[in-house]
Amino acid sequence: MQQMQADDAAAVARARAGDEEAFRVLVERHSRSIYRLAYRMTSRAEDAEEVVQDTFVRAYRQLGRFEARSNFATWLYRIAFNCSIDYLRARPGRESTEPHERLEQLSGQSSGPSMEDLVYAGEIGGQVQLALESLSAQERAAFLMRHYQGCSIAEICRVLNLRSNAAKHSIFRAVKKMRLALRPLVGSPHSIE
Amino acid sequence: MTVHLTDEQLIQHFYGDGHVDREPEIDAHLATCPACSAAWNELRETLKLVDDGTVPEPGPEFERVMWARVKQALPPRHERGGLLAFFETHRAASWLFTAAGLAAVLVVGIVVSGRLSPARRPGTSTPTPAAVTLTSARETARSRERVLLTALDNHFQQSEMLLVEVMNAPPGGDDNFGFERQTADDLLESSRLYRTTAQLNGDVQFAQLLEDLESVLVDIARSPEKVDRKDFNALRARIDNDNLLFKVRVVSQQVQDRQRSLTE
Repeated sequence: MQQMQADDAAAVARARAGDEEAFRVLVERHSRSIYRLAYRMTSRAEDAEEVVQDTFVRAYRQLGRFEARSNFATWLYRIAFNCSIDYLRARPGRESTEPHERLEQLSGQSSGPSMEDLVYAGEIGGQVQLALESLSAQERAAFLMRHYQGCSIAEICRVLNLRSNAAKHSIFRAVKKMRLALRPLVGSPHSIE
Repeated sequence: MTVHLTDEQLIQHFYGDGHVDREPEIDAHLATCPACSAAWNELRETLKLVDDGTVPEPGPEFERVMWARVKQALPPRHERGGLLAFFETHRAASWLFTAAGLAAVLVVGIVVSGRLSPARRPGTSTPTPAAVTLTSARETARSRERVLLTALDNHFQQSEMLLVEVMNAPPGGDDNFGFERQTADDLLESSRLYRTTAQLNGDVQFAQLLEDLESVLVDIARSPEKVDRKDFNALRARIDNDNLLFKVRVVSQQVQDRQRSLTE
C-alpha cells in the first residue's frame, strides 16, 4: 500500500510537470476502483463510465492543488463522489423519483425468489443496488463514504459540504432505508451467524 | 442502562462513531437486552449484505479504453502551459508574482470591458455630440470600475480580518465561534459570485484563490457554535498550508493600489 502511494506521488509529480504518460499510469491504476464507486452511486454501467471519465478530467485540471503528502486515491475518491453527485443532480431522472414506492416494493418481496435463487443468480448485488437507488444522492454518498471507504464524519462533511449533524443524519437515514429495503433478505441461512 | 438503544445509537456503535466512554456500556446492554440484541444483529446482517453486494466488473480492456476516453477529454497542453504550469510547479514561491498578475488581469479585464473608445484627440476644441457621448461613457466605465474595486476591496479586507481572527484565536473550544461563523456566511455569497465570474472570464488562478478561500469560508460558516480543539487546529493548518492569508493580503493590496491609481 505504501509502495503504491509512493508510486502515485511520483506519477503525480511527473504529470504536473506535463508528463501525459504519467497521468495514463494513474488512470489505468485507479479507474477500476473509481468505477466501482461510481457504479454504486449511479447504478448504471454507462453512467459510471461517464463519472470515471469526468473524475479523471477534473483531477487532471486540479493536479496543482493536490498536496504531495496526501493519498492520491483518497483525493480521487473525493472528486469521484462530487462528480457522481453532480451527475445525478444534473439528471433528475437518474435519482429515484419515488423512493417510498421503491422501498415498499423492495420490502414487500418476502414471497419473491428464495435466498438460494438470489445467490445463484448473483442478484444480491442487484438487490443492494436497488436499495441504494432508494437513497437520495446525498444519503448515498454519505453512506458509501462511511461504509465502503471508511471516511470519518469530518471528512464526509468536508467532501459533501455538510455540517456534522447533517452528515450523521444522512447516514442514519440511509441505513434505515437500507434495512427496510433489505429486510426480506435478512435472517436467512445465508446471512451472518 | 435501563432504556433501549435507539437506531441512531446502534448505527453509531456499528461504525464506531459514538462516544468512546459509552461503548462498554452499550456492549454491556447488548449482552443483557434481548430486544436491543435482536435489533443489533439485524443491523449487522443488513450491513453484511451490503458488503456482499458486488458490482458488475467491467471488461479486461476497461483501463485502456478509459484512458483513451480521458485522453481525448483532457484540455489541450497549451492551456496548461506557461504561467499555469509555472504556478503549479513553484506554487508557494511564485505566489507573489502570480497574485500581482491576477489582480492585474482582473483589473485590466474590468477596464477593458468598460472601455468603449480611445481617448479624445488633442486639438479638438469643441466636443462633438459623439465625443461627449464617448467621454461620458468613459466616465461611466471608470465609475463602474471604482464600484467593482470597492466591492472587491471590502470582500478581501473582511476575508483577511476573518482569517486573522481565526489564526489568532486561542486554541481550544471554549470560545464562542458565532461571530466568525456569521461573518463567513455573509462573505460566502459574494465569494461565489466573484469565483463564478473569474471562471467565466477564464481567470483560472484567480478563480482558484477564490475557491480556496470559499472552501475555508464554508468550513467556518458550517462549524458548530463551539469548535473542538482538533477541528480548530485542522482549520488553521489548512489556512496556513495554503498560504491563504498571505495570498488574500497580496491580492487585497493590488486592488487597493489600483483604486489609488484611479483617484490620482
